[in-house]
Amino acid sequence: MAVIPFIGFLAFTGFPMVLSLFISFHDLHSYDLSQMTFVGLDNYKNMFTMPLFQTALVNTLYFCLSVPINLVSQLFLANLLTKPLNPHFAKAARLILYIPTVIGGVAISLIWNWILEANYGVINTILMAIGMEKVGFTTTREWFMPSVLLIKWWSVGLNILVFQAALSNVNASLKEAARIDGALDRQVFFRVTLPQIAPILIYTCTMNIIEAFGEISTMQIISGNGLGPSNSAVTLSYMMYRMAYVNIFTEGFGMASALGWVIGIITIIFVRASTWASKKWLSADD
Amino acid sequence: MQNHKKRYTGTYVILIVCMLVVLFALYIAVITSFMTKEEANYVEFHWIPRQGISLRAYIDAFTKDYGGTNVFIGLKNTLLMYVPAILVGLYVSAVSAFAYAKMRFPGRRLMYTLLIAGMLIPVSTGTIAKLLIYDRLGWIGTPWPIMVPRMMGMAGMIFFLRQYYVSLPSELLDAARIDGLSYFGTFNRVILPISVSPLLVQFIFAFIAAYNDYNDPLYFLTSNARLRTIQLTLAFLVDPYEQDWPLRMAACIASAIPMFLLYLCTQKIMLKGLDVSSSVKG
Repeated sequence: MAVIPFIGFLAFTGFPMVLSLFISFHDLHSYDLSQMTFVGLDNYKNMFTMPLFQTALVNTLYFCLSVPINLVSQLFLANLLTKPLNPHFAKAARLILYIPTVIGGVAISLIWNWILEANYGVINTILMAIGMEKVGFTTTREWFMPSVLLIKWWSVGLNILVFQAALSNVNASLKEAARIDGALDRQVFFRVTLPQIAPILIYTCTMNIIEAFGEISTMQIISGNGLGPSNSAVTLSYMMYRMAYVNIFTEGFGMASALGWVIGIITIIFVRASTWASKKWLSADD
Repeated sequence: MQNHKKRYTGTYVILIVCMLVVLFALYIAVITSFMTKEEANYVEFHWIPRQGISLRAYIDAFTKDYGGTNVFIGLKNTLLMYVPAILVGLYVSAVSAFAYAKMRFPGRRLMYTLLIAGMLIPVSTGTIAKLLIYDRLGWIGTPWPIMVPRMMGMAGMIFFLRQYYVSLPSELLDAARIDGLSYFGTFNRVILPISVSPLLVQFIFAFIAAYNDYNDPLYFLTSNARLRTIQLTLAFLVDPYEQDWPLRMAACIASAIPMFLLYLCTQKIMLKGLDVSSSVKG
């Protein structure tokens, strides 16, 4: 029985990964693998020189700013919730902050798309009422990604609960001991509490980075057509989707596979770097 | 003491501001969902509907046909595809996690290491090949690309459940073995009942992830409108030619109902279970 997940891993992760790498060195414009022609590194070369690739890379990295922004605010809010607050208030706060998790990704994007709408949206109504100009939050290049980051920030919910549980698990006597030794609250948090919850923090951070590099939905919904103002909604993952579905005859599965691998390698670099940095930072505090 | 009190005032203020931001967006969504289309598209946003409460958007969202799907069909698809797959996957994961934690068999360490390392492999590396493989198998536009991989167990679940099973005392297993229980007997009669709470937490996490799953259905199900999940349904409800915001908001609110019920029913168990799954020691 314990072998089943391993077979699943080989069949649905391991094998497709290797096959994708193989396809990425070929030209392929149909579902039929026998139509493949070997082109060496051409897919990679052609892709790197596409102007859209550079735009998409910048957009993806911009979007990934949501990971540190969200982790810090989630941790911060979770820490606030562990303080001795009025129990009814704490319960209400947990319930309300959890609401975005209940609503789910696409719905959140739709709701905020309405709030930030350029003509009839609430924010623009308010801006007009106080005598300011309307802002094209989802229709101009400068505002597009900041709007997306705001939407991602709003969807914090679940991690607050996870972090809060982790924080309340931290041994109280350790914190007390540090406090008796004269440590300030901030020092207790950074030197005692944080290292204790480091494993769950690193795990969440890793998963969020992987998710962020793979995310398509938010940008696609907010932009309406998937491209956004001056292609500011195109991330690497969406570009891959377009190569396989929209531009199958010009770009095709070979280049899409190559892009998939490039996304994968960039993701892993960021994951390794963040894990390395957080470990180093936490151990330096000892 | 003075200092103490002041600090908590700040805590309250920050939390209240965040709660208000959440409630603000929720209020806009709910109030718009009850408006008529004309009112929602009025130049100025009305904070309170002036044309009365209209249920039209909800009725449309559940009953009308939007390219072969609607909120009702979307919810049904999500629940029918993901829930059975997750339940099977949860059982497989639990049995495996237990085996990886307490049994000795050849290749145990290697398999477990590869499984966990697999979690760190970005999905994008295999997506295109999966598309071609599923197409060859005739799985595109069927529930199988969504269900089969999940039914074979999920690495995240195995990771967390193994952490839990490792901490169980070996005496418990010895006692079961002396009583003459087989491996599956031990697992089903002794281990399963005591691990209900971590299992439930894993189910909830898997369900939240499944519910929000967008890329898998986008790649493998888009071609079959009748199988669109709730997320795809919502995404395709965006008709650029018709700005029907009440309909979209109603669909968003309605789509959250199952998740909200799940939260209400499991809130207590979840908070208790989170303590278990959050005490991971890397």
